[in-house]
Amino acid sequence: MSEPWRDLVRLVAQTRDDEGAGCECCHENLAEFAERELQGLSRCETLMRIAAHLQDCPCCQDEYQRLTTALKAVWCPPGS
Amino acid sequence: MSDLESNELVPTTGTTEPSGDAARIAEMADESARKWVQRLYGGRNERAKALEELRSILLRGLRAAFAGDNVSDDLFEDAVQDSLMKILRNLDSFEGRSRFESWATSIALRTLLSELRHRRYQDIPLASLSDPNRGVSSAQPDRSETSPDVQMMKQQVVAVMHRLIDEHLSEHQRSALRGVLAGIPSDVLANRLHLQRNALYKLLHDARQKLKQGLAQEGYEGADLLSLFE
Repeated sequence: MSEPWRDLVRLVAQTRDDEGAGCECCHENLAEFAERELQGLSRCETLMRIAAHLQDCPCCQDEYQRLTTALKAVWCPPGS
Repeated sequence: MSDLESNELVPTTGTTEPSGDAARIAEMADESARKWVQRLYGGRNERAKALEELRSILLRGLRAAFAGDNVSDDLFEDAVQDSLMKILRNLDSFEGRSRFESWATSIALRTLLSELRHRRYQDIPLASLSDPNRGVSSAQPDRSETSPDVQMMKQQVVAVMHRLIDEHLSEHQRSALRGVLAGIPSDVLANRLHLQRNALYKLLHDARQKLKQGLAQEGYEGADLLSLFE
């Protein structure tokens, strides 16, 4: 099975009834979301919606993964 | 650097006081975030020092986030320069819900990621996204599955998906799905389809809902599909 079809079927299967947060809302809250996730802190309602959006949107998921990597380097630089 | 020192890009009149934003800044829970904003709203020298410090932080974050992506030093530098200008322009929108460096890093990351995505996909012609004989309609599952039963079930699902896409989606939705199947990131795809990214997200969400409902009517439920296509 080609990867795009597998990914598409999985995305379709995971589609929720509600639309959830959009990409712009995700952008506005991603720094807070990533920071709290790295610290293991709880999520407010908005951040719960961001978590759901990240499962839905590969682009935002990519941004989130890279942001957590970047923040680790910013807060804990190698050799510190 | 000269651009960054121009008053045109600075959100206040360049005094050391945070001007009309004093109340907002005072509400920021993080003392470090307050100081960053005050320095960036501050006088020329103070602002220049803050920008240089921020430049170094952003570069460190971007280099880590894009390690292995073959990004040139010039591109890193350009992205940071663009990001610093965006950060100054949008300083009013920083609410202090995260550390300032985290907020700034998220802007820099998006700036570079967007640039890389546009470069990577700029040669894919828009026509390929609207040609009904390419993308969705021509994509076929491979033949590498070891279990004939599983392979057959997957092919049946994809065949149903093809039909649902052809019969139940609008042309706009089909174009967006072709882009997704071609692996085009949503910000690039939105630009190609002349949509805001939020509008593309909604368009795709509606399309996915139709496909999910159609699959359910054919007896394919979400959990079974996830298990089959894990």
